[in-house]
Amino acid sequence: MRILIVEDEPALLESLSEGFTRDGHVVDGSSEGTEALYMGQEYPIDAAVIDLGLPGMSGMEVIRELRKAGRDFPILILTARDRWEDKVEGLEAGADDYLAKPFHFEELRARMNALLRRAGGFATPKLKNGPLELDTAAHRLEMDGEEIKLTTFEYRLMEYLMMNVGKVVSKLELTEHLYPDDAERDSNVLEVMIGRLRRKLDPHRDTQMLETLRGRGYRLKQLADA
Amino acid sequence: MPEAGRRNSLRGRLQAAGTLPILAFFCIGGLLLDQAVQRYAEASMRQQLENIFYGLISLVEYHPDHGFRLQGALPTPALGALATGLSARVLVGDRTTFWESPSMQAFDLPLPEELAQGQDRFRFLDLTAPASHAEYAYAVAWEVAPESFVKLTFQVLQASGDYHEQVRNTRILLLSGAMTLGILVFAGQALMLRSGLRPLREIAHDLHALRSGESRRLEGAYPDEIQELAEALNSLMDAREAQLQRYRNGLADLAHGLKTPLSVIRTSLERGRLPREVAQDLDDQAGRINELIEYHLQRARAAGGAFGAGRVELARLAGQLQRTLLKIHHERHLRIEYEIADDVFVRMDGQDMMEVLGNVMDNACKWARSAVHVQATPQDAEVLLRVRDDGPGFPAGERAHLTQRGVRADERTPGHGFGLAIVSELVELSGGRLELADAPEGGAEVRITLPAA
Repeated sequence: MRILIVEDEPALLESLSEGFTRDGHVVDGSSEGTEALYMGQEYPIDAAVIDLGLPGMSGMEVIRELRKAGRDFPILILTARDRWEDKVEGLEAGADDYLAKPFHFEELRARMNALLRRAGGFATPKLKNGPLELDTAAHRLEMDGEEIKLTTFEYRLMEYLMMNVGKVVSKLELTEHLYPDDAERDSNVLEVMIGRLRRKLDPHRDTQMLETLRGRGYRLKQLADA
Repeated sequence: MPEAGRRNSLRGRLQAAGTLPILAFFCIGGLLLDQAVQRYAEASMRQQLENIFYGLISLVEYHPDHGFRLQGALPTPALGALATGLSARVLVGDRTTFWESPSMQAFDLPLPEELAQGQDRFRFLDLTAPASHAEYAYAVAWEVAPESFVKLTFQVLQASGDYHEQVRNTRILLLSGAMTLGILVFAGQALMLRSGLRPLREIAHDLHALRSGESRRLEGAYPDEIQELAEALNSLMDAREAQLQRYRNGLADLAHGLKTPLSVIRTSLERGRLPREVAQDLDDQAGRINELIEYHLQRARAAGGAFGAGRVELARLAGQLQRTLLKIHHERHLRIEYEIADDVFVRMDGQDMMEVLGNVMDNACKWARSAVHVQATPQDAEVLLRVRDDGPGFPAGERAHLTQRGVRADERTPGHGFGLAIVSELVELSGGRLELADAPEGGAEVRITLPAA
């Protein structure tokens, strides 16, 4: 998942970026409102963490502008102002959740995962699709109750496909959501990764659950409950 | 208004101060006018009788052989008639009548009292019969021969019934005129006081609205004398508001300044570069610092129940908090309902009220199994606000502690410890009360009573 983090305290921005990157997300960091708004509008962001107390354009304005521009990814507000007035204003401006400073990264991660799941249409931390079960808290994939070992990149790929189950996901979309901006975007690598994931999910090539649609992208099929 | 208020009213004072001079004016003026009327009537009566006397004296003739007699037509035909009330006689000396009018004989009117020569007299005779009369008498010295004088006394009488009636009529006219005028003057005075004091009543009304938070400024169009007072009050209110705002902004900046470094500390500790126990200890300390900052900042930024603190529309506030809390507690699938009429207002600062209801409703959401219910009922001059959940309820015996400063009922629920203590303080600052109770369906119920607005 690609996460936008907007925080003007460099040390906090760094530790949040590090935390989310370690969890396998792609992080776009910004310490300034106007830049954050640009990123939020132009990059394929899946979720954002926005500090309200920004210099220049305030976090509240960034949220309002993003929503006005039709960007509907989940937004979590961080703020040191913990008055209810600020919480209400932030959530009415279009944010989805709220975390008061100082916080534990664990709590931020839990709330972020909840928001991402909610955006993907799942109500629990465990995403299910037929025999497949992806535990987003433990980063585990099970098929018919048996764990399938995945590398970090494979997990991210799988998570994105599970969040978009039944939908066609283009190569471009995948690279944008799974690679940082400056990373080398080699579509051959992606094809190799898809191939490896397919072998793990469908070793006997009988379910055909991960389809390749020529020139359009990939699709994880909606499967019947086992 | 009670008695004391009435006695102290400007209007009462002005009315009293205005009434005395007006009453004095009418009494003295009336008396003087009455005197003037009487004098004028007397003078004109005297003039009338004097004219008849002059007419009579011009008719007197003396003949050495026949003595005195009247020669020619009487000065007024009325002297010859009986019913006119006018009578006259002429005497030689004091007692010997040599001429009298027919009415004088008919009514047997008294002789004049003795007068010295050249003297005259006008008076009213209060006769029992036939009627009261006005009398004019004059004693002249008539030269019958050189150096030989005879005293002639002239008496003219006019029945004075008409005169008295006229005076009485004039008096009645005067009195009723004065009374009408008096009523008009008093009505005018009352009207003047009313319109003169109306701006004061208006400003009192506007001040009441200001106090109850219905308005934020004195906006009326007042006369110049009061306008300055209103402007002074307005700038005082503005200054107070600006000061509170500055103060709150300063506190918010302070909170931001302190909490961001605390966040850095916490997230850094989680990176696991320090031994686990050390990191845990430091994290606990950071948590304590944060709670203290929060508690004291929350207390410090309370506006409290100062004059014109404001007026909060509870239904709108509850609606905002409902939407916010539904988002925050999305995962819990709670039902958050409120039952508040649109016209329920409480007298409290808006931010304070938001803190109170936000904290209480958020607490209820944390403990609820499935539902949170908020209800507001107006009771006379107060509003009873009830927030209940279907959770485990307050632990027995701990209710009293919960509202005390800094006591935490449950270390696991963040923000729970100071929440109710802050709420309790904010409520009391605005002149309200907070009570913890058991909800009828089990669960906790927080009851907050606040002054209505």
